[in-house]
Amino acid sequence: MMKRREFIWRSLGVGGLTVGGAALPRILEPGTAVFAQSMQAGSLGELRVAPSTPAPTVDVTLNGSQIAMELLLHVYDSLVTYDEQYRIIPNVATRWHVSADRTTYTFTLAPELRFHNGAPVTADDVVASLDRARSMGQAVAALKPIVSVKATGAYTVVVQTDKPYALLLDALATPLPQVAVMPAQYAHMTRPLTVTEIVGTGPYRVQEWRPDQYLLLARWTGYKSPSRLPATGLGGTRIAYHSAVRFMFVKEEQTRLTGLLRGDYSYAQDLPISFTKVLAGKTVQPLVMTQNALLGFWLNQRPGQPLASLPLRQAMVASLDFTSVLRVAAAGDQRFYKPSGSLFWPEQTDKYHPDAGSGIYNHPNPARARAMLKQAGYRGQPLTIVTNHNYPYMYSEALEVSRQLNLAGIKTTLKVLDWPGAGRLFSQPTGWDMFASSAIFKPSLLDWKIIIAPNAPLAPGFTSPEMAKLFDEADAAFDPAERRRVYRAIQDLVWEQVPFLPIGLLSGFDARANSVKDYRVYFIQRFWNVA
Amino acid sequence: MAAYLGKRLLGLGAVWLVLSVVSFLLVHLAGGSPASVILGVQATPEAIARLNQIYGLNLPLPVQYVRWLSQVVRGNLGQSIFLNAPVAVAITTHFGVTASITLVGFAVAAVIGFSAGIFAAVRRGVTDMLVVLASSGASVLPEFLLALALLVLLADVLPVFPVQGYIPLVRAPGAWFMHICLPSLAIGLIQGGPLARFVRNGMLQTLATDYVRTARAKGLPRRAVLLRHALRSALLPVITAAGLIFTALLGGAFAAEVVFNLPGLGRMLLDSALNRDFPTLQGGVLFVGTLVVLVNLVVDLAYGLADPRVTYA
Repeated sequence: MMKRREFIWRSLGVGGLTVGGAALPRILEPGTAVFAQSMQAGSLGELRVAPSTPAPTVDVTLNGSQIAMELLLHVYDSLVTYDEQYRIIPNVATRWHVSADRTTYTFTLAPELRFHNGAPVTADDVVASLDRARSMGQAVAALKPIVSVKATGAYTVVVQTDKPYALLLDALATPLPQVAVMPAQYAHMTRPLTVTEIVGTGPYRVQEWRPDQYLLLARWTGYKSPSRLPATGLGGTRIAYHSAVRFMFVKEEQTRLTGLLRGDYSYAQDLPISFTKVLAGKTVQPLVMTQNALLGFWLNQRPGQPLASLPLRQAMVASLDFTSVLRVAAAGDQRFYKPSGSLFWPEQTDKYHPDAGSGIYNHPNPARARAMLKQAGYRGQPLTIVTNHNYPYMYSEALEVSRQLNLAGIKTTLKVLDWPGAGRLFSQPTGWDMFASSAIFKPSLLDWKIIIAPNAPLAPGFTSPEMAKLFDEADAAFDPAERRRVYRAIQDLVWEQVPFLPIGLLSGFDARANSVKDYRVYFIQRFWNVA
Repeated sequence: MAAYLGKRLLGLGAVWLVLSVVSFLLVHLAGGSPASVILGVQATPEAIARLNQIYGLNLPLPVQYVRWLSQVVRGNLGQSIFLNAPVAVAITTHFGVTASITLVGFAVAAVIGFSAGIFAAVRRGVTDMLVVLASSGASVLPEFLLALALLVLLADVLPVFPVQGYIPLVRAPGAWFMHICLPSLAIGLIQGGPLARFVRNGMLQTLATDYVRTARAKGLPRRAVLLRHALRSALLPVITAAGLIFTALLGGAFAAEVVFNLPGLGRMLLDSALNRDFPTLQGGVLFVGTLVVLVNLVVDLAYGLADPRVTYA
């Protein structure tokens, strides 16, 4: 017979086990501290991801595509980067000092970092990497104010600019074009890098690349996080829980969906919005990629072209029901679009301007449109809208804008090409007036400079002393309050002078298998710290 | 026969030269450049010019063509811009997939076409009508659509076959077959339709001839009359059609490769076109064109085997 004391102890034991057992799964849920400690880098197998397009290049300096950016962010680090709220945080550079005259930046690098080839990261590598980015590829314009980059110690780099340049850290942090840190031997190459030369410091290294089939990234076992911050945005402590990530390029959307449902991949990118209905009740998780793209049109404003006329551009704005355009582009699903006159996303709290275009954006005003057309001396010459069939939402966007402008008395003709063909036409001075596009998420004003600044590559012919002055002020705006003022003024001016025709925010649609844990939606797909 | 073959091969050279000019011009007239694909639309003209110079695309078109042709005649198709490999190697590795689908698809089409065609010609009546209707329906169905339907039905709803990918025959024959089964079925079912009509029409004509009637009157078994006497004579138009069907199967294979995400020649050409990978596209088009011409030559030579009256001069 059980004694009383023994009974009490046994009861306590069983009760404790029961309570503990029930609590254990909660503690081990992804995202909790215990879960993170229980997981180890490389403890999970290969993660398979299905993007829709292959990367056209793996040379990070030259790259201008979103897909290559996403892949290479797993491989390369930059000096500084963005956190979850798009603030600059340390990365390869653990700290930096700005001189009193704000023209000299001294970066101190994280010690003991190693490249994927085992070589240590030194100041010479950073100097060579910055020099490569300054001389070729996409970041040349953003890094133009830099006059010299020098190593003043094994782990110290000094960057000198020709004037106070508040956007320098943004230029070094932006993921596209990424100013990646690479070994000097590869940074010195003036030709496009080949796959064996893709060597970074990120949590994953390139193992195999079959350009039209897959990119296999393997966990970099020598990885040491340069930052002690928790994982955030594109930086912090990035852990490769999966031993490998295989990006399998699958062009056909139905195949991406079926492959996801069958378990061929754990994550499918860029699915048609109509698939949300198909996925209901399945063992996968639909993801609305909220911070994705801003739909819009680049405008040919060269002298002699119809849209060189400001009243005509203003007439277009007064003619359009922007919500309707977004609805058509998003296949009618409200979860995927958001009318917004701001160039920045609501999450970018220091840059977002909810009142941008107030009274102008999304306020169709036929009387004002007619008055503007009269002022422009518009005599019915058709505007050529160039769009493409590679991105269905751009095609839909162009179709609806064309319809609305025609109704307002502005004649349009649609030219539908494939993306490279459309790009070629865009580079011509004539033959087009409006170019349907989507501006993928822009972390900084710098990214908008190529779209809305006077004579920007994507606003050919646009001239505006007011906008030029504001961009000069932005370059010198180190004070947060001053920066906020300038950023708001620029966004207001966009709606007055229309160097670019923003339509509104459009989200993408991805889906992940339920087995993929701890995945957090961001403006790109990140597969580090994903269990 | 040897003289005929020599003459045809000489003609092949001329066709090949025309093909090279046409493929080169078509590819370049599409506009755009690999530089604008790599750098993006926002790239500066200077950056594009610099990359075009690296790829030799800054030269006038005639100069580019002569350079390319001089390489090709020496057996060098150039270096692919996006595939990270010589074009000849890229074609070889991708062609294995396309050849697998096309040949198995051809087998599927042959089985369906011959059995349905003979069956319809012999049974006539409702059977004949059904075969004609089904074959006409199949031939207007796009490969892309049937491939998608098979994907959803046999890879998702009834998960029998893999959704995508390819395993080489030499590595695992069973897995190879499972991976090419659906794409081959998609193209074979469609091309089986026209083949069935060709076989049916040929059989109907020969079954009404005197020598078939004589063979029957002699008391030859029905099987021998149909297969040895009637079918052999009916084969001549079928052989002509086989060349066309092979070309159609090749085109169908290209569509199926996209649906089933197979790394074949069709997908390679599509990607090359979208990326403006000129060397790969030119080499690929030239290769496919040469293949089609060779298949037609084989078809011409096959006439002699099917019909002893055919002579080559």
